[in-house]
Amino acid sequence: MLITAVAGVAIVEMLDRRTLIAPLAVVREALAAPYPDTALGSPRWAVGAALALPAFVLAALSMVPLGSGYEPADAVPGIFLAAMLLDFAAACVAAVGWSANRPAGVAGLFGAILQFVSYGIVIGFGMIGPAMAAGSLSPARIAGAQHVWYALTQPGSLALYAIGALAQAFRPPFDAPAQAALDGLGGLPRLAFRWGLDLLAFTVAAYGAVLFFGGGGDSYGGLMLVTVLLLVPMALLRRARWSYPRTLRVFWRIAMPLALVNVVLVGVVVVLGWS
Amino acid sequence: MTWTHPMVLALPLALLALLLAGVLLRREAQPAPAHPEMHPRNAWRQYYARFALLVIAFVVFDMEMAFMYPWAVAFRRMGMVAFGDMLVFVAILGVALAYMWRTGVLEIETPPR
Repeated sequence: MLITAVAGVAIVEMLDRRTLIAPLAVVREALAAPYPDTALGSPRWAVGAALALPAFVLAALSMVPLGSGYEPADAVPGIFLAAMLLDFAAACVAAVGWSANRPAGVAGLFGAILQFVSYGIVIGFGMIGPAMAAGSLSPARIAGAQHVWYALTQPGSLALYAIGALAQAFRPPFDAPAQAALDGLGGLPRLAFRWGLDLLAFTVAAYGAVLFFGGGGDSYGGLMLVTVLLLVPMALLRRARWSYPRTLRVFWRIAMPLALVNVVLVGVVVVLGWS
Repeated sequence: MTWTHPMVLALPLALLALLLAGVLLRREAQPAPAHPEMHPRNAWRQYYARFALLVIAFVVFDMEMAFMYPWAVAFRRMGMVAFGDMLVFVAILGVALAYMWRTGVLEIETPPR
């Protein structure tokens, strides 16, 4: 699993920068980046949150069924626990804030949380559809229950998950909190935070593969292939950054009503046995 | 799940890192020499006060969604009964969302009515 995590970070960096040496370039850049000006006080406390980010994401990734030879952490709450761990990762991004320990840091925290309260419910509704159809919260059972991909029987859930996953992974156009937090870090904490963000993108893509594409058919290669295919559009999407009010409008006024309708539609599909 | 499982290793690491953040934050929160930039004037002007309303709405909706997860597991077994329950539940959520929309909680740029 740790090898998968390292590979995931490398894949995300390579897709983002479109070069094979991207992972090495990231290390060099992060270590060369000076620590932020410490005249106003050292941002040491933010280091803890920056280090906690990859650890929480790693815990969420450990629940992904990585093929038949791997025993995932099969906790009873399943994808609910995974969503909670990823929410902790988002909280770490918020805790670093804007240029940590600066007067504007609190504003950065508010901005990150404003984004979180926008997408948090929508991604939850996106994940609940596969759980309804499979009758389980276990990622392994949800993947195994898909004789037909849920991406085909539940396109609405997939759309909700996709836009929520973009925000959860702080990818464009929802990358404002993560980029602002990166500006406040230097050296090793910056590297850990950057890797944590990469791992976050890989993990939400892996959960997308499990929830909607049968987990790649219970094989490690299949899961990695689907995950990478889901990461490609995430890397290609380079829309201009959205403001927080726009993010809020899109998620609460468009995605939320659609999410409520989608739960009913999935219910009809499951009750009629079309799933 | 064994003792060497990544979940068993990752979660304590994450909690230790947060503990480190807390300890360092507490240490840095001690009284320090005043610096003009650390005390911006009129700091409250920078923040969106109605943010609290939105956060309360989020907590309410998030809790309701958390209730739906165990329901989703039992949904297949219970069939139409669970489907009917869910219709009522979703209708209540829809009314709550419409009320929030109508009263301006979702308006971040303009004051509430």
